[in-house]
Amino acid sequence: MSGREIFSPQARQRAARFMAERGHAVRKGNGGNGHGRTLVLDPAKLARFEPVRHRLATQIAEGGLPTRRRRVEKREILNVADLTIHFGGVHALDGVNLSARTAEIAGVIGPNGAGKTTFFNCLSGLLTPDRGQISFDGHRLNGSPATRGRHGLGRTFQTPRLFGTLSVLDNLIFGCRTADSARREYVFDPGLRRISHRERSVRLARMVGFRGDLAAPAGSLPFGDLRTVELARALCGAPSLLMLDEPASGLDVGQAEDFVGLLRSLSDLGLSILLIEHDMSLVMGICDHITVLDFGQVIAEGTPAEIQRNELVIEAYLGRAD
Amino acid sequence: MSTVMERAPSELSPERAPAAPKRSPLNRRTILRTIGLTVLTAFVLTMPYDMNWAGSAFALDYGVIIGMVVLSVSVLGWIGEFTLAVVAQMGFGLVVVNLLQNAGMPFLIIIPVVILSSIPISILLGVFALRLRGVYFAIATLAFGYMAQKTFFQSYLGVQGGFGGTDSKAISRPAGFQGSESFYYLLMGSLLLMALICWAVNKSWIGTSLTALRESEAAFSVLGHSPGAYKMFTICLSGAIATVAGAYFGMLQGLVPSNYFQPALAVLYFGFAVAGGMGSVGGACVAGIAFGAIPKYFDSLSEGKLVGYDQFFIGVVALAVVLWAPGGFAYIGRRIWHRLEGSPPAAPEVSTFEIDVRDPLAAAAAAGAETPDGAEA
Repeated sequence: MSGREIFSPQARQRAARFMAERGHAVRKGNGGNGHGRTLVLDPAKLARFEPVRHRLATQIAEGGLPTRRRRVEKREILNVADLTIHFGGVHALDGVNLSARTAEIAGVIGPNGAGKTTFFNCLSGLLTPDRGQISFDGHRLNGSPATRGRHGLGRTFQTPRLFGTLSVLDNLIFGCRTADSARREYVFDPGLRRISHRERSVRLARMVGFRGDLAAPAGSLPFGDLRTVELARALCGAPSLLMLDEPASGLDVGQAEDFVGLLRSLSDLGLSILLIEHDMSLVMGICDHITVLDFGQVIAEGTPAEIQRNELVIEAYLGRAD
Repeated sequence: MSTVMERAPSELSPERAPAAPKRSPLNRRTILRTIGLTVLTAFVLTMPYDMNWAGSAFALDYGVIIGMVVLSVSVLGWIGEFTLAVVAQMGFGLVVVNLLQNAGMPFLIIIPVVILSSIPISILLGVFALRLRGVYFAIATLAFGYMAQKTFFQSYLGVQGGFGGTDSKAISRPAGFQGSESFYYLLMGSLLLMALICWAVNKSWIGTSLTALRESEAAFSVLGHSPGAYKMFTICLSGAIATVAGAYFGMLQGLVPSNYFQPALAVLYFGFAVAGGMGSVGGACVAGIAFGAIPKYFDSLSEGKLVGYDQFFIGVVALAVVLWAPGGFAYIGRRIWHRLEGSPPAAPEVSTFEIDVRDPLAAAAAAGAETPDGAEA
């Protein structure tokens, strides 16, 4: 079994055998999936099949992401040109240019008040810039946050914004509904599109490292879990570009390590990630390309090694010695 | 295989719970529910006659109509807003009934047309809701109510009701429902139908989406869901209920002068909705009926001596309810029910209105000052 297909013929056969061993009626038939003759449960007993399917789904999910590497074509997915916004007399963003490529992690860093979150809010449509153009996946990005979300722009927030009174599962299903209604493919695992919302949610929750109760109200989760569930919810929406706003803050060391591995895997599988993070070791270790903002302006961009040597960046973070 | 979309979200649990021990069909819960439903049905069916000692069934008819109005206010709590335009929407319903009856339309046509006629006004109010939130939206709806009263209702209904006061023609009740008792059954049937529709909407994916929208509009929208569509739907639902209530009010009163549609009356109905439990369907119906009918019965029992005190009575009771149980009648009902069932008490359902009062950040967000994580901008 490849680890990608929950309902592969082999899985069906194994599940059917499992049921047959326990005395449930199983008949032979064509699964209708183009894979030839497979064992198919009697429809009347289908309800009893549910726990097995879930056990299989969970087992596969526990295995994490698909391990097979795919050839991912690298191309520009986001291009921001001359993005400018001001609040009163404060220029929160002043002519910001940035680009991101598929299967890469781009970091946006800068001291507090540099305009990083404002930049994300402009991209996701929560703020309307005064000037500038945003091209996403070859098209000019306009419209409401909802339209942008449906076009594949996913994001998390600096302070997690889960729907507190809804269960964790319902939070995740919200994302899945977007993916289906907008007919989006999961770039990091196309197989996800073929399974139900519930199984998809369980799988993605386990993938990001959430081990808690999916039926619990999201508002009752500890902070670290809020972060992971919010990430899973964003992934459920099948984004092409995932914008993460300080995703590692509040995570313990173990969680942060798992998180870095997860982001790297997602990126390798074709997902573009735009990351705001204050943890410099994380940013330098994970990002392919970094843009540094200070007082709303881009002061540097390049690879992590180039950024670490850049005098302007050092000055922005540490100040100038007079 | 049934998909997730076909099932209510509350049914979804990732890991199947171990099979519960088989319970007898006659357990305490079932018995209590059966008894409760029987008593409630009997009470609802016989109420006009049970209350004969206190006064005419007219009071009850009035109460049921107020129940509809309060339900329309409460429904808007699903999106965390409150409206003060319900009285104006009632007025439009009344005017539409007047016009349709004069055109000789039968009752079964009138009600669907009244519902359809509510949509343009609701869309107009919905445009406000897309731009304004909380108190600002409420003030906009209040302004709309004043405009409607001062311009349209005054010229149309005049001081006597009917056409400009010169050709006053009373709105009649539908055939077969002329008496107050029989009209009560029509009203109560309509209220129960409205409540059922609202309950079904609230339990469906739409209700779950509305909860999500209320909790974080920013997160809701970046996930690809349109807050505007859900807001518009809720405002249209609320508007339809208020407009139908206005139509029935016209049928109850016959002639309604324009000064009845004072927008300040909407503040009173908002108070009823808070006492019922903002967002609650059952609580709104109970609060509306109680606060609408009981003062009328007091008037009747006191032979008119307590007429001036009905607002005082309403105010004291509503304040007492809100102080004792911030979740309103809905919370009190749930608490009593859980006590009877022997199950652990339910946590009070904190309405958006309460959050506004207690949490300054939430209040700021509700007032339109929500900064989408732009603290560091």
